[in-house]
Amino acid sequence: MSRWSLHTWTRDGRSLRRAMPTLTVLAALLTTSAGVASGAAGAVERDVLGSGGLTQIELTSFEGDESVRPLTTSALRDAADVPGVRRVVADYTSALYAEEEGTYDLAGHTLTPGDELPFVDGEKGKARVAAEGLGPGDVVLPATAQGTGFASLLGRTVAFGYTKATSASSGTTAVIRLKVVALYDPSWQADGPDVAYLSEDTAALLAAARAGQEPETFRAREGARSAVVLVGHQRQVAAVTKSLQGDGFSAAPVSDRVRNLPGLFGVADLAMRIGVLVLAVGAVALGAVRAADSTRARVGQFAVLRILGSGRPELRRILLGEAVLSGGVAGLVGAVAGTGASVALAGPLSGLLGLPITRTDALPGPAWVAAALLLPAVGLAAGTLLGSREALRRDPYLTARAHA
Amino acid sequence: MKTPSPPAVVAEGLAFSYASGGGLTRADLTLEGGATAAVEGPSGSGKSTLLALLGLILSPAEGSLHITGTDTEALDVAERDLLRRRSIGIVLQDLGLLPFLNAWENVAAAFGPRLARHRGEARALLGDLGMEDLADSRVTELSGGQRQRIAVARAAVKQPALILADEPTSGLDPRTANSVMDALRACAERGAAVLLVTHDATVAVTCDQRHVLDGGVLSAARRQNAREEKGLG
Repeated sequence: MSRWSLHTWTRDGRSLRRAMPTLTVLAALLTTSAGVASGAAGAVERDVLGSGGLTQIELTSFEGDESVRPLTTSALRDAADVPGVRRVVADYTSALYAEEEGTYDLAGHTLTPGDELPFVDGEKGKARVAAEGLGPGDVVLPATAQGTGFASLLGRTVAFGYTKATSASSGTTAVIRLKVVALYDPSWQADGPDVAYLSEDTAALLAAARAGQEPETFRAREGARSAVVLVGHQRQVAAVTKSLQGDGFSAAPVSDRVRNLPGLFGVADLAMRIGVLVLAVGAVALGAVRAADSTRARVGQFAVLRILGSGRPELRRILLGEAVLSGGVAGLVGAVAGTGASVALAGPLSGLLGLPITRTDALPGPAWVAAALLLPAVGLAAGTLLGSREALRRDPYLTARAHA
Repeated sequence: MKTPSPPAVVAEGLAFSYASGGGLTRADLTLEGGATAAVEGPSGSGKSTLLALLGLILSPAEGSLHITGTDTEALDVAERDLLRRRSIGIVLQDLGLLPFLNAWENVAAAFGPRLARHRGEARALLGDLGMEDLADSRVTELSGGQRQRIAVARAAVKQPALILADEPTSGLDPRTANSVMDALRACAERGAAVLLVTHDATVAVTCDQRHVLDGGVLSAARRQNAREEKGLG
């Protein structure tokens, strides 16, 4: 960088500092997005892993895919026999209808160890379910579903309807009486909306009835949709996963699944990478255009500096110095503003996701901050080299006279 | 015995042509320190090309050029820039001032970007030219004559061996033109060789040497020594 850069950058309105506002906005957007994505991902990861996700492996069955082992009774027994496995809980899906009061239908799922339900009566509901576990006659309901409030049913034994197939194309409604042991916040929808959580045996009973089979037959032939394998310690997760995969199961550690953050967070990660690309390409393009404009406007000034004894390399250093100063300030201001914005957004985002997001969560990662800090300067400098070539080649004496 | 200083400029057979045509066909010139020389000629005759060659901005296609005894032919671009920075001051026609600097900073710019280091020299020279009060003014707020004197001050502040001035009095009223010429003559009295390009015969006649550039060829004017002509020699 030439010392002239300090004079031209601070005093000459035609210098490359005109590129600063755009680059500042780009850097701020990148940093804000990184902070928001980091906050959301961190909160979700902490929430899932905090509920025991670090010691859980998820098994999934894929109907029609013969390369994946179905989750039948014998398969689940094999899984339970793998060294390090403490327990296997299978999830069976079914449906429950209103039989006595209200009009609703609920999806039935097994309450698995990964389901850390936010009980509406807080620790009391949690303690009740954790201490006793869900018995065959118990159910946990959302506090409300389809306009029906279940608060009045808490602690009561209620009749629910369910479908019992009588042939391949017909069925009848049967009734099961279940005690409502707890209610959870309906905004928690890890298995979808309006889910009734049941014990494994009850969930299997209802799923089997819908298929027109006895529970034992259904479990032995059709199997569960998915299952959660609990291991003794998180250091055993990798070995147990490998062993299960070797036995033909589709097995993945819950921690991996969470950290890979599929869906929305996967898109967010992709968007971040695109953001970095946009910032880099934008800085180069802006540098090329601005440098071409700026050198064209200041060609007489550069000619004077040449006549005063500055060589072409020094003129290039002047422009590069302006680019580094403009990009550096834009990156710094953008990164600080973007970080501030993401921290400020932690509260609203927390409410939106229903998860606690701390200010620390919302700090963008160091790699993103480094990108926001450096890319404007590097990109602008690269663009400047491209954009200033033509102007710096001109004969300074004739240029200065022409601009006199 | 003291060794005599080499001439500020010795040019022999200088020639240069632009790809688009025009340029300089032949120029021979010797200018000692303390002397003033005027080059006259019509537009397009090669005056600017001659100044650019003597200012080491262009390299001659033919001929030789010595500046303060240094043969410039062997110098690379960086060395030519360095020699220009050390030994040559150039006054551009009318402008050539940096608009983002004030008057004294424009003068100090001759030394490079460390302006504050040369504040004293720059202000003192502006004082000599009667512009002390305007030293902190923005150059865009000054008159043409004031800006021209600043340009002279910038060319002279390093006390170079050679000062080249391109139409230094062009567009100025006689009184202002005289003050600019006084400033250039003061430089010569301090030992600099001053070569100026002018259309103004009243300016040319005050110089020690008078040359004419026509069709790209530099030759001595018919009445070569203006001082003799005026009976001053």
